[in-house]
Amino acid sequence: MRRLPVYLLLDTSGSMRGERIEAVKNGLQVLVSKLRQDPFALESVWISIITFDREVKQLLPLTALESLQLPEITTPESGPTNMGAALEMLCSKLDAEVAKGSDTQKGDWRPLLFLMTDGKPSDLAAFREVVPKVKSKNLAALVACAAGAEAQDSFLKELTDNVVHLDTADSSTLMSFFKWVSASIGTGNKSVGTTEEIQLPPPPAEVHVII
Amino acid sequence: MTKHDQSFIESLLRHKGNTVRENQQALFEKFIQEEHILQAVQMIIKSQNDIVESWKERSMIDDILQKHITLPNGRVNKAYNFTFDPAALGLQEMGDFDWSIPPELGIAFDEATNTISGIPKQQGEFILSLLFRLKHHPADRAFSEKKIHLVVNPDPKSLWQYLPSDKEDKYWQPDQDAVTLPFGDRKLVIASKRGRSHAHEGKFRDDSFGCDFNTEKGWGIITVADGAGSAKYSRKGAKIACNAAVTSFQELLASDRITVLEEALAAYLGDPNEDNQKKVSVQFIEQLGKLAFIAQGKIKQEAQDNGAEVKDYATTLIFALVKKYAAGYVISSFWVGDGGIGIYQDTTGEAFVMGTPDSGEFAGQTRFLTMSDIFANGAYVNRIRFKVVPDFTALLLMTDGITDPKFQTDANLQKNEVWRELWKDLNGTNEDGAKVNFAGSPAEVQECLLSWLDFWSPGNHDDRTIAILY
Repeated sequence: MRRLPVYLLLDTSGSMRGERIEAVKNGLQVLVSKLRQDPFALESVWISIITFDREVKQLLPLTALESLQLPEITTPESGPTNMGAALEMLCSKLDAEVAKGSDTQKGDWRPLLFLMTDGKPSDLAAFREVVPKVKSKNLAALVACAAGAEAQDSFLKELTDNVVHLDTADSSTLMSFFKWVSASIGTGNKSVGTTEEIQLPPPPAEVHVII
Repeated sequence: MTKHDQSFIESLLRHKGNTVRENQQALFEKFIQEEHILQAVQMIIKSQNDIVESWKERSMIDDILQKHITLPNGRVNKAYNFTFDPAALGLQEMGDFDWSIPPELGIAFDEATNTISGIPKQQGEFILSLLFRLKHHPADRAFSEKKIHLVVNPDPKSLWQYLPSDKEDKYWQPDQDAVTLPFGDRKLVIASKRGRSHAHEGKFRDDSFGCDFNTEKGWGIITVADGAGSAKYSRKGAKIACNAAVTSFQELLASDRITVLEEALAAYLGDPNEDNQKKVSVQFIEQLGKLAFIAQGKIKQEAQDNGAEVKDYATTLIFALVKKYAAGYVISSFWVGDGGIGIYQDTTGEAFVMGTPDSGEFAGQTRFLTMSDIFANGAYVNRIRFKVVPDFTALLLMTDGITDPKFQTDANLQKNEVWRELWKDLNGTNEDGAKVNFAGSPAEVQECLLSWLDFWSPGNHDDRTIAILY
């Protein structure tokens, strides 16, 4: 059985508290519901959620969409945004959870990564150190989303060419981002050459692609 | 009056700033014996106890209400079975309980087995009610209600749509196709179907095939190709590859190159020594390599003519040339990409696989005929095989739409038992009872094979193409 691993890295630092994190939760709910209506996704997609603030937690280990139940997401009052540490955890989870193809084992589809932040990495040294490592993981897509005015695209550009920006991090904009994520996941099931990235669907108007 | 009641009154008076003085002891003794005082004390103590008990109860009920209980997700048409064990879920304080489940869901709670079970009928997110009393509650106490979420996933089979592909497209090809061909003393059938994942989005079938048999020369060719799902014109790439292989094969037969090949072959069949084997190998490598190389060239040409990139036409390619000699069947093949080709003999249950698939670290990764390095530095030599077999049950060429679900791994492709399973499967040993009666007429075999291609395999919904020489 070929799985399509999808990793969601979500900023849960203090600035996300309140409306934003509620919007993210709603977004996740819609993402999961939409994917459940996609027969390919229902049979193939496995999702993991990693949150980062002062602490980095894998709230949801890689779980089949079919049996998935969304975890509780909480945000601290304040504190740093340890994005570098989150990417470090991502790398170890990719190694541990994603099946590589071999003679005796069918490999998973190349994993997809969606990272969302409303700020910038506080652990910049760790962030810069882990970026090449993430890039070497041969992900089928690596999308970073900068949500809101304070989010800084420039750091995310160091991580990936696929950076999208949301002018506001309100619920309707975040919702359209999550809907776009679900559409992007639907395209993951394609035979591709060994290094090519998948083609993402065109994002909705609220989601700006940063060039 | 008990000692307890007496000290209760004393502390009450003290609490309210009144103390019983030394000289009032007799008065106090009398006071506390009075009936209405006695009753009042009983009442106060009872009320206090009621408040405490009430709070304890409220708090216990709330503990149960707050307890996070998850029911495993269900799926429409798939038996659901969940054993409800309150103690294991940390609901030790719960006494009598019952479940209130909307009957239209198709599942119900069975008290005898303590399970929620049934076949879910509706997809969606539902709220079930767990009605309960605390352990010490009498049976006439009203139930408290805890709401619990249940997710019922749709049956994936019901979600696949069948949208026709765009017939106006310049590279359109039918969503399914099949052919039969007399092949000397054998018969050939090829069937190809668009995968559910493509049908769901109204996309094209990217697989293609081709064949020819020259009665005069006794040579035939069979070919299948799988256009890369990620490449926009891959269906055309696959078609060009198959057509080019067949056309070049016809040209080969018309030229004296075939004479040279046949001479080498005759020498080898007469005396299969190492030297003769080398000579015939060289011939096959040269001639089959040429077929594949021309096919690559035709795709490059098409890309150029259309101002597109070669990789837009990315395709795999497998083809086999077959001829019957007195010594047996000579089969030579070329294979780039995934899928598979094997010669299966049912009497021995053995399969000879003519090479290894190209596969990457992750699923869906392979190599394509269109890649520039395929012919670099003689790298294609290993892609060409030849084999002489006295007899065979079937020669099978398949795209990965078949090999992925049927073989799962590259290692399995080399295992006889998996080929035996596949052959049984084709002959009707499967869930749907889809059987290809190879003794039937070619038209019947073709129809049955097309139906067989509809087999269900979760997660495997790619285009499926299979060629069987039987």
